[in-house]
Amino acid sequence: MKQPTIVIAVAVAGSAIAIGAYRLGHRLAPGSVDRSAVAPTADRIEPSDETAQLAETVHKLERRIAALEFAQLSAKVAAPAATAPASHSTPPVDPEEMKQRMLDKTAAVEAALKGEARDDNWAPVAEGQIESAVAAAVKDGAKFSLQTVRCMTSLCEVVLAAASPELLGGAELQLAPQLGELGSMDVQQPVTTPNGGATVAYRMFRKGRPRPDEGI
Amino acid sequence: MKRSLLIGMVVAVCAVGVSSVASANMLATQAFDCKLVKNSSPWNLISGDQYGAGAFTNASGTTARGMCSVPFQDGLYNFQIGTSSGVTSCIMKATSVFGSSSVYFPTSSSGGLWYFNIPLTAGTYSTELECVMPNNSQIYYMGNY
Repeated sequence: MKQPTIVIAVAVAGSAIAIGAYRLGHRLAPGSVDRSAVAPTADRIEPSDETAQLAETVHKLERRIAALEFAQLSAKVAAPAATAPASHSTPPVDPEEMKQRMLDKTAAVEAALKGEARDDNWAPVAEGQIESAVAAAVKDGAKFSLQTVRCMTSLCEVVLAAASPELLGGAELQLAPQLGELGSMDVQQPVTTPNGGATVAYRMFRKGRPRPDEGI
Repeated sequence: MKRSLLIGMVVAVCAVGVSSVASANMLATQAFDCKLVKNSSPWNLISGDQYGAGAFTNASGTTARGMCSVPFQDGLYNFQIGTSSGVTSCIMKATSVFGSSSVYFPTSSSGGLWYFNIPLTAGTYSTELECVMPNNSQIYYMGNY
């Protein structure tokens, strides 16, 4: 016989012995169950009814446990509900604070764009990638053109132009595969030009470098 | 045979234990709120989007863009996206409650797994995944950890 079969057989035999011993123990010691809590006449019942009586006791206990568990659960659910108004009175995010943070982030990016020195090793490479990305997108059917590209040390300023604002939406995914030097970019709202065309400005950030607005 | 069964059960129990430890603080969802749009401007909605077996499928018959909402937790900035290997590029777009938007490129990608690092405050941004999906390609899940 194989070893796993032996293990299973031993487990089954052990279980059978344990169950037998448990039932025997109950027959030898009927007072082990406090039957006064079940019924005043429990001592007078016939041995044949003992199993049914035991089952009834178990059912009663199960119902009591279930009731206690439900009460406990209800208390847990009720507790947060009672404190809910307090949490609503203080929103997790203050809109004014959030708005100010957005303005601070934008200011930090614009300051970097104006004040940052140009990294002559990295900037031409990044600019070349952006030009190639736009050219590849146009080749694939994109209807926009590159109006401005200027890279510094940690970021680039890019402006795309198109005949209408709708032609500029979604350009990011077309450019993404080519932009290995860049990690992220902020997209500004498209601006409609007097001749009916549109432009959109991007702030593109160098991959592996902290953004100027990081931590704000 | 029985031994194989026992070994299989032991391995399964261990795998469940390890995965429950590894998934602590990870929020992983199937692709559940996705749309399919043309892959060229104007990026209009197109039909052929399908959900099945926990995946979002481009069944439009052509290459299209799949866009899915991505839930994330406060203070957890890493994302892992699972797609079929045919998906050619993915980005994550974060739009603030004030309308400004940022686009994040993958920090790395390999064989249908895309990784992003996006330091955003939950509740003040919504995040969306955008992928170029050839016909019959799929987006499986989004994980934030």
